[in-house]
Amino acid sequence: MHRTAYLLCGDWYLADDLVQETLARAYSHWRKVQRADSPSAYVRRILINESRRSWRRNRNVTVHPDVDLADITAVDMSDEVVNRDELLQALQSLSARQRATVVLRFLEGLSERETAAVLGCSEGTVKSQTSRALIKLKSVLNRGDI
Amino acid sequence: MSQDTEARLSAALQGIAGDRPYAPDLDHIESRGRKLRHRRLAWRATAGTGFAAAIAAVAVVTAGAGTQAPASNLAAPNPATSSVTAENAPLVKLVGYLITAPQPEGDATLVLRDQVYTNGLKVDVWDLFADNGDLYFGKTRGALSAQVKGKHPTGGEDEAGRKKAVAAAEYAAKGDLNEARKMMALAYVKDPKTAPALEAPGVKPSIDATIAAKLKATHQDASTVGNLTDNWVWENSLDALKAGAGSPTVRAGVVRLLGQMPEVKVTQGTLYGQPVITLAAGALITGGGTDSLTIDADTGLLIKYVSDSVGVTVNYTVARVTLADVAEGKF
Repeated sequence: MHRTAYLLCGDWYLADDLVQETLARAYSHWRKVQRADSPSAYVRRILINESRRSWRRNRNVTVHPDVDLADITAVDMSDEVVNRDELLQALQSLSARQRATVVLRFLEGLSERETAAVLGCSEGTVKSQTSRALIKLKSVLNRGDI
Repeated sequence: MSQDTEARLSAALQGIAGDRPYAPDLDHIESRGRKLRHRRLAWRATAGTGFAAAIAAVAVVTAGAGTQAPASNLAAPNPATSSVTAENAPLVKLVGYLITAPQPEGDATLVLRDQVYTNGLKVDVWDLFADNGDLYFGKTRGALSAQVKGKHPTGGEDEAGRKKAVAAAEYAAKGDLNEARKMMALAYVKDPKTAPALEAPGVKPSIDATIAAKLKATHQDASTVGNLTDNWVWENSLDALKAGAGSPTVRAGVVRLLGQMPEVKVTQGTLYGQPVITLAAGALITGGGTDSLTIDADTGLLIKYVSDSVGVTVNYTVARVTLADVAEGKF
């Protein structure tokens, strides 16, 4: 959840706060969490909603990747090198829903159906949001196939 | 997208997120969770005076307020409300100046936000609010210039709400405060039909007996139940004050809206040698902690915002500019 929060907001300190708030809200809704068909999906949904609320409250403060320069050691994507900071920036340039879709699908490995359940939308919406997000990631990163 | 590319994107995201250690503060989570449950129970439990009733209540408070007249607690001293009027006197003076002040030159307002979080995080960012409602954002001067030059406003799902909040403040400057309060409270509500009943300023919501018993059973303090409409008006007014920082009319409207809420405490002082007015919203408005807003006593410009509930202090620097100048880096 902490890693998901980080990719949603782009800052480890804010991710700490986001997870704390999410868990506090889950605590305050504990009966609903227990009764949910999928408690983990319920808590993920709280996290997504909190990240949106946080963005609105702080207005773009979350667009602050704190990747340590020394830590930008590159991710090996086959034979190419992707700058972590660049990818994180690209991720932050997506709309809240597109970012959440990408993170749930490709970080957490959720299926389209599971992602739709977390986001409270249809599988078709997940597909279209994913497609649009990937087009933006391509243009931002100016890479051939990501 | 091919499965191979999906796998590579997944690997890249895993690499970015890494495995940074994280230990949740369980005591804080439990404490915060209890507080949230209390707020939710309490606010949901309120009998919810309908908006018509709220209008009536406000009408009593602001009797005689026509489309041009300020609300009574912003008006001339009244023996029955002398303490409130005395407290709000600097607001009355400020509104009086702002509603007749000329619109400044330029076609956009530049806001530098110097933000310091309680965990030590410091974030400086630039917001550029164009008079046509567009918002440009940058973490540096260069980035902001590039956004303006490329005509890439941020847009986003909050854009409509922000514009409505500014419109509500403009209306509040000279219009009916009842209607302005409704507009401000519902600025970010996409479907007003689904919004809960609105409450008059400072009206303590009555609590349903069942919920009162539930609060008592869970050792929660029913006396701290707040006014949800006040909370919305406070939060959205802050947005309007930022987005409409360059407009004397917007600033006047925000001051009128905040000044009519009894739970907003007004104090005068100085900051960096400048006379200022501080408006502080307590837990009954914020739902926990105190948020305070410091504005220039002469111009109403936003200077500082301190939030216990969010854990942040924000210092603002506001300037009128032109989009053309910002695009050229001249600011």
